[in-house]
Amino acid sequence: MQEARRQDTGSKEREQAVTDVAAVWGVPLMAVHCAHCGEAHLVPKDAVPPLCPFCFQGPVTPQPAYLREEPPEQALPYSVSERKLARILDRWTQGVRFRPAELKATALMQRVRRYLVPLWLVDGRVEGVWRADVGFDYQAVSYQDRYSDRAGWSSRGVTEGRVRWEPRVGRISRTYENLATPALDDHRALMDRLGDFDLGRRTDYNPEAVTGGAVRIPSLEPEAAWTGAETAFVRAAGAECRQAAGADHVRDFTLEAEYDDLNWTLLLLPAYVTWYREGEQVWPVFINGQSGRVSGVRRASTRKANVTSLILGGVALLLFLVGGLLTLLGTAFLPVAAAGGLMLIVGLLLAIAAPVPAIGVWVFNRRSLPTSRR
Amino acid sequence: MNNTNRPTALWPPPEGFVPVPSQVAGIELYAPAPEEEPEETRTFKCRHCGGTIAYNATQRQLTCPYCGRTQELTAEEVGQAAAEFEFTLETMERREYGWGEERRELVCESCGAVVAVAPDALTSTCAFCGSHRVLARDVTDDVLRPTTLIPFVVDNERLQAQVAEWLGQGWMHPPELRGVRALRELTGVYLPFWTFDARIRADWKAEVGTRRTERYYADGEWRTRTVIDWRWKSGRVRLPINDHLVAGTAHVSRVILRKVAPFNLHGLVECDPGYLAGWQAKAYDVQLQEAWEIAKEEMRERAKRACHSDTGSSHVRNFRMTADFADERWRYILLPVYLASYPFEDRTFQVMINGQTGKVAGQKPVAWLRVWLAIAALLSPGACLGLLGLLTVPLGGIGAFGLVVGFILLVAGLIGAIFLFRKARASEEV
Repeated sequence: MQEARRQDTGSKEREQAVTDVAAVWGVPLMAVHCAHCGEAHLVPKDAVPPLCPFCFQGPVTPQPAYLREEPPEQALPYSVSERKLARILDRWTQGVRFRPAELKATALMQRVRRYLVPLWLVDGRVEGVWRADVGFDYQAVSYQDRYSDRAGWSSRGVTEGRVRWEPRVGRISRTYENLATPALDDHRALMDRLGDFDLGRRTDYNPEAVTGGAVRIPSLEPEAAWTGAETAFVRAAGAECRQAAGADHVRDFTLEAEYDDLNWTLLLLPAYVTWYREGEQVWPVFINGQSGRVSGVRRASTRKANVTSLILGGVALLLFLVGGLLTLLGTAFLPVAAAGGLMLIVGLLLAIAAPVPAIGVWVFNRRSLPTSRR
Repeated sequence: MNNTNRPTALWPPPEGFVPVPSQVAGIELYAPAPEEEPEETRTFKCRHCGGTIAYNATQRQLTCPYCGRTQELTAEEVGQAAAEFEFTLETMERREYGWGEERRELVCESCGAVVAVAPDALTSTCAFCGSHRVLARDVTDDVLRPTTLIPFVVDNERLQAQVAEWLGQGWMHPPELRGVRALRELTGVYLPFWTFDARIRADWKAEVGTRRTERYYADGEWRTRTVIDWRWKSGRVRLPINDHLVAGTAHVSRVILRKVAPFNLHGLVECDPGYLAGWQAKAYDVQLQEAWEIAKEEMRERAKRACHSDTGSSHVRNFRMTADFADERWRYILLPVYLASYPFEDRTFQVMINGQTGKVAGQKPVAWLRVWLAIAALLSPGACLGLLGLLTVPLGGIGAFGLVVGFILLVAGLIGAIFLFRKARASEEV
């Protein structure tokens, strides 16, 4: 697979900055760089955000736009309108006790921004040889027999689906178009957050698609993205070889091929980003602009919970003191002792309940964290 | 695709791969060559003299009886590793049909047996019942083709003497049997068999009893008695079953077949039609599904016995189990036997010889007078002593002693008599 002959033009683009992004993309955009997360974006020239539109933690500084000379070829349109987005965020923020003031749909909507994720679409011709095991589904009958002293034997046939694997080799000469290939180092992590996109609904690029939004600049130029592209070619070829064999499954697919007529174009995937602050930390929220899937951490307010616990604890202490005093007085005046006892009991119960908010929020926040961040 | 013609780790296709149709333009496909189609029907003629050649069990090759030239058979000995098939309709449809050589069928009007023979075979006697009411007809190809067989190893020339010796054995048969030489045509026949494999996972649950002796007080004294404590137990038994044989024909006595068994399946070879040349072959008349039902019943009974054994007690009640079959596979094979019959006192008796081991079994007439005399001899000591004891009981202890010993001897004699009678019956049984 190392024999690939590639005809892309992107290998030296890192060194060549596009000086007039507006002329290429049709919208006045400028490239900025985040000192905190290191990601580069294209943002509207007339509305440069103070914070990075991805991590919301670092200021952005202008930088040269390391881009291809061609604009994106296609974009997926937004299916989630801002009104619908507000409803989605409202639902998402529900169900959090001691919710931070900023974790509200209105607050999130004030900060929401369109965010476009780049994805390479690769066309190319594959010529080579392949080998694989192809699997054919078939059904076989197995049996389960039962015996009991009373009823004797009874038999039941069970039809089982099985796969018969057979080796195949062959040659392939096929052209593939628009194979999706990651354009970002963190593409997989980002897709895990945003979920799947229906690439079949893509349309030709229109400058309006990026107006007012932030566009992530590809961190993988075609040269660096080739590994992903080759994987996509192998996957597509494997599926077609399975189809060619009339089989139901394919495994251990190996391809030795040469790749010609490669053509790389950029597709922009629609998303929204917003954020809220809880404690000292900023928590970003990502929304798939096509499916409406929300990905983010819902935090409860630790401060609110701690204050509630302290108030409860304070009331409990007060009741305990007053109750104790009344109980002492009760030695002289019996009815007062009953009231004092009652206050002691209530104070005790409140003292037990006081840590519950703080502990509950701690557990909730701990559970809401992604596993890798615990 | 010129640049893909140079050899690589993947190209050219491995030996035995052939082009197959592709459902996508631009993709060529090579697959292992399919199993060979049934060969054109072969005729076995000597290349030198044109005489009909036959498989010779002694030389283990094809031999011309006229000029003595031989021709080697190249079928590989596959033993128990011979190909097996799953219970799928598709697999069954894929098995080749027919015998792979030109053959005709002989149909016995008397017993209904059908055997396939070479087209020029001159025979008019049914190998199964000895009847001469045999019709010849063209072979039908609607039977599965056997995949493996065990070739004849035992030479039929020395079988006459071997059978004569077997006939002369045993005191309960007529002495005239020793002189019988009139074995009707000793015919080598490949009999059809199904072999089945399966893995059984049997889960059982039952009340299992444990014997215990306890003392108890009754009628003013301490006594002991045995009680059984019952408790529920369960367990699991895994039972692999390999090459369970079921006869593929109902025209052969299963009793005699059991007696000539076993066959050593390590001797299985690929079914080259040459092994059938000059020999008869019986097509199966017990269908695969029918044979599988028989095998399954026998297998699950084995599983049941294994589960009972797993309980660790002879006291078991409310026993129940499930037997899950997995990896069920089958094979259709041919096994060699010689069939013969001989007349004796207006009756025809069957003899069968294992064509692999030479083991002889069959029906033998019984000299019933000898058997009854032997039974009388077995019973008489007990009867006489018992009678004597009965008569001398009024004399006291000696009479009672005689009575008891006589009774014991009578019981022992009775057991021996029953054994003898059953053995004599089995000897004539088909």
